[in-house]
Amino acid sequence: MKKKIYFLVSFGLSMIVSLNTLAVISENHTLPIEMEGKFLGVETCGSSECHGSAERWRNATVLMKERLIWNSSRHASAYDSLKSELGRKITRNLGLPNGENTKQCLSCHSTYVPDSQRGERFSLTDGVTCESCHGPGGNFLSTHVYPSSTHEKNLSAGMTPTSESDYRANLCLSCHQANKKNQFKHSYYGAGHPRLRFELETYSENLPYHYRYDSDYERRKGLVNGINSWLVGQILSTIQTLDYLEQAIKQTKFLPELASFECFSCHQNINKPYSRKNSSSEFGTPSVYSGNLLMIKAIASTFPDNNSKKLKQLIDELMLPVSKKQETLALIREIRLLTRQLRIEAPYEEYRQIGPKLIKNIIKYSNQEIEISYGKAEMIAMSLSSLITSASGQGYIESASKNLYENSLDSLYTAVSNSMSFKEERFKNTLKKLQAKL
Amino acid sequence: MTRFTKCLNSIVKLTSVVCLFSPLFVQSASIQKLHTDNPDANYIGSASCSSSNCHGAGSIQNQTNVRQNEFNTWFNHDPHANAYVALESTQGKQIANNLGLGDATKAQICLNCHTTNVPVSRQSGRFRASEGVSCEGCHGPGSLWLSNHSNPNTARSELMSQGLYDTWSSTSKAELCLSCHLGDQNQRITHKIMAAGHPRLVFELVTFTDAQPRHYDVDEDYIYRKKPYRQIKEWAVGQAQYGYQFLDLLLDTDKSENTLFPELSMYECHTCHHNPKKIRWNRLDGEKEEPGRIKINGSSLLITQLIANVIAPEYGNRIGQLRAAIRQKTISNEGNISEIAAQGKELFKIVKETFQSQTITNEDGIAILDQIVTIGRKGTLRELSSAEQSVMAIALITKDLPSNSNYFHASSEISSVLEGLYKVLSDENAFSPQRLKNNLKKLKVLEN
Repeated sequence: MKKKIYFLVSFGLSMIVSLNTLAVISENHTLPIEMEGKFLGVETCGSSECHGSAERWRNATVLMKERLIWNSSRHASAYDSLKSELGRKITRNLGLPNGENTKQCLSCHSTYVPDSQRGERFSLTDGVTCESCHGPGGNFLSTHVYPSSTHEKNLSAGMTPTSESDYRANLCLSCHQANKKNQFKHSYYGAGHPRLRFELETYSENLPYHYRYDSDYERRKGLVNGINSWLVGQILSTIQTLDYLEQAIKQTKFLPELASFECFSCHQNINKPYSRKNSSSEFGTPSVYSGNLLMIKAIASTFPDNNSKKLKQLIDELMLPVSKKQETLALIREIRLLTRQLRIEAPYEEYRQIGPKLIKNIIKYSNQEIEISYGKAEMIAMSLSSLITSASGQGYIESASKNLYENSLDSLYTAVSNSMSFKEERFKNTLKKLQAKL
Repeated sequence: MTRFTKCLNSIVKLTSVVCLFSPLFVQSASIQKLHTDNPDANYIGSASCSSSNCHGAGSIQNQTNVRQNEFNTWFNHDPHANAYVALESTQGKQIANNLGLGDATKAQICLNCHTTNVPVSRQSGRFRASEGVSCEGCHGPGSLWLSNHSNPNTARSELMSQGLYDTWSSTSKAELCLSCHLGDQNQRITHKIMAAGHPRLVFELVTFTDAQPRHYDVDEDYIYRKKPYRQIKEWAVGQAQYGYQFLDLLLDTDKSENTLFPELSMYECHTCHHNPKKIRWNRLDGEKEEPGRIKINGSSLLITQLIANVIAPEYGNRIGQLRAAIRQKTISNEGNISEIAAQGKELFKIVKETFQSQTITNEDGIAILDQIVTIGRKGTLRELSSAEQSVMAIALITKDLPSNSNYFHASSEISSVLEGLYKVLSDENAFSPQRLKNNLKKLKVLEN
C-alpha cells in the first residue's frame, strides 16, 4: 500500500506543476509491475464490450479496438519470442533451461508479477499486456468502466499516467535499455539477444497507436507535444545510461560490463581502413554508448544556461574512448548532475521555436563529430525523424518544406538501414544536405 | 662423404656440444637485446655480406656447406627486405599518422621491427636502414665476427661466442622471430597500434620459416646438426616458446587499479571484431562458458597442451589447468591474472626445455595430429587463431611424417584437404568453426 500512496503523491505533485508549463521530470516512478493490486489479464480489458470491440461505439472517448491493435504489436508476442528458435538459442547459450521459467527473461517478456497478484484470467503467456503499462486493473477497473469515469478519476484510482512523457520514459526504459532496473548484460547479446535501442518518441509512435490524438484526447490529457516527449526521453535515458555505466565501472575488476558501451566501437570489420582526423591518445580503446549524450549537447544549446558550455565539454570528453576508471567516474557524475539540472520546461507556444532549434542543433553537433558510429547515427536518425515529424505536425515547420524534410529523412533512414554496411561518409553527406535545407 | 664434410661434421658436432653446455647461448635474446648486448659492435650492412663469393652468388653453389645465394633469396623473395619500405607505403603512413607519430621511418616504435634498428653511431659505411630487416637483424652485428666468419673452417661456436646469433637452436630462433611477430617487453605491439591500422600478427615458426623463404637447405648436414632436425620438433618448441613469451606479455598487460580495460592485443581479435547481427557463438553440450566474453588469445597454450598430452602428459594436464584458471579468472571478473601468468610462465619454461630435449617419433606425430583433428571435429576450434594454428600444424605434420605412414599420408588427396582447410581461413571475417569441422571430416575419409 505504501508504494501506491507514494506513487499517488508523487504523481499528484507532478500534475499540479504540469498544469500550464510542462512537468518537472521525475526519475522515480513506481512502475506497474512494482505496484500492489490484482492483475486481471488481457481477457478482462479486452472483452468485446470494452477494449476488444471491432468498432468504436457511439460517444466512446477511446478507440475500443485497442486489444486488436495490441494483438498485432510486438508486445503481444513478447512471451512467444521466448519459445522461438532464437529464444531457445539464447537461453541455451546462457545455460538456462528455458526463457519461460527464467525471471530475467520474463521480467520484460511478460507481465511478470507474483502469483498472489495474478487474477483468474491473467496469463503470463499474453506477453507485455495492457497492465504491464497501465497498471494492475484490479485497482481501477470498477470505476473505470463507468461512462461517468474521468481520466483524473482513473489516475487517482491507480491507472498509470502513460500520457506523461516522464512516466512513459521510465516505464519503457525499464525494458528497452540496459540500466539499473533492467540489468541487461553483454552476455545476453553474446548469447544472441537482439541489440537494444530506444528513442521514446519514435517508439511511442510505432507502438502502434491504440489511441487517437484528437480534441477529446487533448481535453482529457492535455496538449500532445512530441517534442517534449523526445526531450524527456533523452534526458531520462541519459541519466539511466550513466547510472548503469557508473555501476559497471565501479564493479570493474577485469573488464567492465560491456552493455553500456558502443556496440560498433568493437564490433567493426577488423580490416576497415581507419583514419581519424585527430589522433586521440586512447586509440583502440572502446567508447561508451553516446547516442544520448550527443542529443544532450543539442538540448543544452537549445536551453542555454551558465553550465551549458561546461556540460558540452564534459560530454565531449566522455565521448572519447575511455580508459581511466576514476576520471571516467568523475565525468559521469558531473555530466549526470548537469543533465539533471537542465531546465526544459516551456509554455506550449514556445515549442514553435524550440522544435526547429533542436533540429538545427542536432545537425550541427552531429556534423562536428569526429566519428559517427552506427549507434550514434541511429539515434540521430530517430531523433531528427521524431522532431521533424512533430514540428511539422504541429505546424512549426512550413508545409512547403515538408516534402524536402521527408525526402531527407528517408535517406537518413536508408543510411542506417544496415549496421554492417553503414557508411559514415554517406550518412554525413545526408546530414549536410539536410542542414542546407534548413 | 668427402674429407671436407667429415671435417665439417666434426666441427658441427663440437659446436652443438659447446652450444648445449655453454651458458652464453642459453640467455634470452630478443631482436633489441641482440643489438644492445653488444654495445660496441658496428653493423656493416648486407652489402658486406653479399659479395659474389660469400653470400651474394647468383645461384646455389656447391663449394661450401651453405648455398651462398642467401642475399638474393632475401633481397628478391623475403618480405623482411621490404619491411622498411612498408613504413613508406600509404598504409604505413596512415598508421603513423593515426598514432600521431609523424614520419614512420623516424619513429623508434616502428623502426624496431621494420629495420635493423641501431643508432647511427653503430652503422658502418655500407649499412642502410632502408634495407629493412637485413642479415644482421637476425644474425647479429657482423663487425664482431666477419673476419673469422669468412674463413669456412672457423667453428660456429667460436663465431657465436663472438656475437653471431644462434639461429640453430629452435628456442633462440623462435624467441628472435617472436620478439617482432608477437612482440615482447622491449617492443609491445599494442592494440592501439592495431587500431591505427596495423595488420594482425600471426606466427608459427616452421610455416613462417618456410614462407620466408628459407635461405638454407634442410639437408643431411643440417638435419644432423639439429640433433636431429625434424619439423614437428621445431614446431613443438616454437609453440612452447610462443606460449612462454605470450605469458610473459600477459604479466605486464595487467591493468593498474585505475585502468578500465586490459591491453586488448592479448585477446582473440574476432571475439569483438565480428558482425553482431550474426550469432557467432553457440554453447556446446556440457560446456561451461559465458557468452559475450572477450577471450584471451590462447592458441599457443592450447596447441602446446595438445603436444604435451602426447610427449609429456604430466605437463599436458598442468597446461590444461592453467588454461582453465585463465578462463575462470576472466569469466569471474576477479581482477588481475598476473599471478596465473607468472605461474604459467614458470610452467612453460620447463615445458619448452622438455620439448627441446625430447625426440618426437612418427607415432608421436600421428598422436598429436589426432588430438588436433579430434578437437577440431568437435567444433571446439572456434577462435580464428586456434584454427589457424591447427591448420598450419596439420599441414606441417602431414608433410613431416613419412609418406608411407598409414595415417594422413602425403598423397594428392591430403593436399586437396589442406587446400580446403586453408580456404576456411582465407577470409578472417567469415571464419566458421562449422566449416572447419566439415573440412576436417574429410581427413577422416582419408584415414580409412
